[in-house]
Amino acid sequence: MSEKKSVCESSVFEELYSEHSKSLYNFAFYKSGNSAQSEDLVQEAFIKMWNNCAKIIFEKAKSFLFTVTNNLFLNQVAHKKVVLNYNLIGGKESTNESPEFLMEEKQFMDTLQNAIGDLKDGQREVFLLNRIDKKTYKEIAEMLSISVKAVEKRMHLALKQLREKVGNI
Amino acid sequence: MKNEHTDDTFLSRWLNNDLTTEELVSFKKTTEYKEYQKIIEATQNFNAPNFNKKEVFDKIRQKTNHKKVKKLIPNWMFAAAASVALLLSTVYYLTGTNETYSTSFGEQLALVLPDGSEVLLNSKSSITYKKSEWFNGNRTLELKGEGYFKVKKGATFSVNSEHGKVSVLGTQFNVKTTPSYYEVLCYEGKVQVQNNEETAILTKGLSFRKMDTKSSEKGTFESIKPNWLDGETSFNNTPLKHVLEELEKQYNIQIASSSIDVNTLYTGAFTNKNLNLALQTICTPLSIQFSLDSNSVVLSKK
Repeated sequence: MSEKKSVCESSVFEELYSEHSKSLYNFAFYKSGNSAQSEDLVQEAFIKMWNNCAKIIFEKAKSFLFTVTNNLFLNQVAHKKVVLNYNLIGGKESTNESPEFLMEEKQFMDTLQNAIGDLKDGQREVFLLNRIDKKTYKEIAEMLSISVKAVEKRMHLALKQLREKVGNI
Repeated sequence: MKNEHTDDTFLSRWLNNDLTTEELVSFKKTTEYKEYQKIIEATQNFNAPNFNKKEVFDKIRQKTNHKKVKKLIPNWMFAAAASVALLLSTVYYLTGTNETYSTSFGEQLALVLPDGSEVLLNSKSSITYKKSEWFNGNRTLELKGEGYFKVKKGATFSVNSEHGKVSVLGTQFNVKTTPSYYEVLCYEGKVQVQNNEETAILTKGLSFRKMDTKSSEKGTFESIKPNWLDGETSFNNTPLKHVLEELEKQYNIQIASSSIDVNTLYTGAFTNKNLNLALQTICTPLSIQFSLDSNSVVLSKK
């Protein structure tokens, strides 16, 4: 068993920040769809952790951060629709696809984008944390304080719903 | 077919490559498979907006710093700093480095001592003291040359020199000490002068002087501060050799005086700013001729 790390030490605090801030930010963004609001949430969550540092053990710091962000978000008013950035396949110049294909491609991406935004919050979080942040189901379960089974169900439903909306394009 | 991928975690397991070979093979045959595949491929191109990691951290720092500024420096750091400070001060106390201040030809120097007392050093003079002893209340220093002291009230203040010791409790006085000349002038308060043979108490306006091996003499004076502070050096019935010695110190010159009587008594003052004028004020009343050549002066009778 290694030495106990105190969250109150600034080096430990910095370590936690560099490790979790980005995924916390993404998590907040998948919920709120607003980047400025997400930055604020990350900021508030870390300040809250600092102010309560004596009560938080290092191993629980991560789940504290996600729980706090989640709660802070729920306290806020209705959120915007989540709009993600995406790159079209092939990039800008290297494509030799026909204009029709590119049009369709663009249309498909927009529809998918829209469909993701229309997912239930719980499903969208899980889906995007897995697809974009490459989090495993277990990691997502820890973040959201739910079971792995629940994560798998949400994932399944999310994918199913997306196909129903975009499948026939 | 359809039923096979409708259990409520089927697609999750597919993404995680947790399907059995049979499940996967049959799933790949369905029309939905391609659609799911397309969606998953498309999601590779999605990404979340950029996060200003550094900027947000700086904001957090700002908001937490002023609340718990001490916590950012771990407690053990204070302990470490304290022990280093203790170690240093102990070493410093035990070794007690000497502080020395000195002046060169024609220079003057004003100093404030650790207790707040002031010293004005005349040319070619120096004082030395141990800082550590001063913090223990022992106000002692060594003087060579001439110094004017304004002492803050407090414990005994001592000026040591080769000819004796001056101790006071808080006053203003001037001490001049050269190998053959020792003079103390008291401008305020009370001063005790002590050497191997005697002890004298001086009050305001009294002076103590001892030259060569002669016995000491007491005198009076009227000025309220030493003339050298105003750029003049003054003497009262002083043998000429001490006057010339002082002149050498002020102007960094060599004086050849073998052909005159250096024991003639001189009363007067010379300026510290103009050598020619200073030589005239000394030589004219005593009927002495002088010739000045860069750094050396030759004196002869008229």
